[in-house]
Amino acid sequence: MTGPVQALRSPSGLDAGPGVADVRLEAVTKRFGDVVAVHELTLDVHRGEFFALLGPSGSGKTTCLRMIGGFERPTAGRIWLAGTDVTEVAPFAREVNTVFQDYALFPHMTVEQNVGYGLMVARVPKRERQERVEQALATVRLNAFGSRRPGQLSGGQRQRVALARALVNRPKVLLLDEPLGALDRKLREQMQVELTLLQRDVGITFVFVTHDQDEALTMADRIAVFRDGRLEQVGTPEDVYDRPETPFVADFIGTSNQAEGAAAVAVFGAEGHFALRPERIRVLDAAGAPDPGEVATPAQVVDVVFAGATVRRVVTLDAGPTWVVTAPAVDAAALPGPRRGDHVLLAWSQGAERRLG
Amino acid sequence: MPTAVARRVLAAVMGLGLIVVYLPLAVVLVNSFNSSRTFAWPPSQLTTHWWSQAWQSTGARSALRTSVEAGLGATAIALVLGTMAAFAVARYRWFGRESVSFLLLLPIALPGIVTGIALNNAFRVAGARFGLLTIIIGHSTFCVVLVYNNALARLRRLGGTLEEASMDLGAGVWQTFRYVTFPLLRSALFAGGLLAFALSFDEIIVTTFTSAPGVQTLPLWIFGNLFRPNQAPVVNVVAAALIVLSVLPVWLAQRLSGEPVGARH
Repeated sequence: MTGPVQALRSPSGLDAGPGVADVRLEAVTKRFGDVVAVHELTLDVHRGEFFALLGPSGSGKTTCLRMIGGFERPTAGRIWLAGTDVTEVAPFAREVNTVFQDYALFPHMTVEQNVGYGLMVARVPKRERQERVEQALATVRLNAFGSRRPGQLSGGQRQRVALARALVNRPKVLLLDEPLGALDRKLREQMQVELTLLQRDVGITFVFVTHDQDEALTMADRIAVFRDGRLEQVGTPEDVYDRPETPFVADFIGTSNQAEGAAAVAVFGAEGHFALRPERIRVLDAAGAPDPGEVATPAQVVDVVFAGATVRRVVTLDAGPTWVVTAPAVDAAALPGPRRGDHVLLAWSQGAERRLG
Repeated sequence: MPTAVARRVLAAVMGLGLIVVYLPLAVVLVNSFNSSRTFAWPPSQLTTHWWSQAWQSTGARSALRTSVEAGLGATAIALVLGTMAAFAVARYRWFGRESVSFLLLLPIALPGIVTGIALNNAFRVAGARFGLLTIIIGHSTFCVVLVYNNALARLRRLGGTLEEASMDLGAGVWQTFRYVTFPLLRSALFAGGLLAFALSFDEIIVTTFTSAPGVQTLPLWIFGNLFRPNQAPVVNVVAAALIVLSVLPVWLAQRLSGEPVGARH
């Protein structure tokens, strides 16, 4: 933060704000009338991070993004960008650019004009502008489309134009609002990979909003899980998936089998609230024996669902709760496997379960 | 799905309705070329004599000029106020927004004679000199709503994200208006302006109450000369011209507001 190079690149970083975070929300609250959209939220995003704000709709994640972008003013709290308090700074004066959910490309301009817009209003000389626009279009592999209008592009191409239009300004932070939400599934998966590679390439901090847990797990370095305007957990994908801290996180990220109260005592041998991932569980015959180091509990198969790559079995534990068990589909093809109504034994390695508060 | 008979009946009714509305207008147009001074029907001979006579009539020409000036003046005011009002209503939330929106629409529903008398009284109280300016102000009361409605519809359709995107990319408020909002709004404003002009151009009631004796718009001139048999053919020509001049802007405006956003740049 105090190195000379850094000082050159971002003079504002010198008036040492709190910490080295690129984006910092400090006890931020946002109210719309009587509705509290974001409640005293504190969050740090590190420089160069690919950071996901994940949560169901209405959980406050988009409001957070809009506050970082400057489109909403927090009711209380401060927002810092690269060490500078920008709470009162207008969107056009923030070194942040946004890729909007609907891309918000200007329909009356060509792709080139769209991408060059930020440079034009900043009065960057025409020559440099052209070069940088070309470069940006090359980054998203759209060089050949410069003279088209947004209306003549496909969804995926428009998305890349929106990316180029934001990146060409070399922002400190790029904000992405449900960047892949409008694309069909195949394209979405492809763009997930492209976005990740692009982010590594340009080295800019990316903050993106999504309600899709797969997307967050696939792309993000760290994930902030939102619920009702508060943070439930912040951590790496491995953290939030394998070590969820609350029942909500366990349930929202992936599928979780949960047990509490008497069922917890019966299944896990302890009081508390536990979660266990479906893929951690093996299904044995009722008469089968668990391996050493495994825990087992009896259950009955309620349903068997073939889902392509996996087979999902819904089971009701003798101890009460209904769980889901997944297995790779090769097993299903090779083995007859337990069917509906069969009594089985569920087994998992000791410690595979996660205690939730 | 209506039956074949029902469809035929409906078509006949609609045809009849359209004939009732448009046949008299067609007669006016044809009669402007009718060589008979008393409009003998059917016309035995066609002539452009009345048109050239109308063109040379100083009264009609000065009235045409007044009408155009009043129309342009009222349209200019309507464009400025209507656009500003549309922005305020479409982009901001404030106390009384719905009421103001309603109050803007009201003048078009108010009987012209009420608006006319009210304005006449107001101008008298204010001690204003009646003339072109009072006509323009009178016309703009109901012209604003046309621009306002067109601009508001376009602004709502565009939504706010394009403007947000522009600001996000570093453009200030004026740059955003100049490069993004205005270009996308332009055709809607043009359409609204044309409608406003057309409405002002053929207005007579409010004009009656807001003009001075020496100042005549085309409709006032027609009304004044209507009962002079000598002038009848010229009046008819002016009426025909008025039809064309009023229909053209409306037709253009309809084409413009129907086009997709941004298709014309």
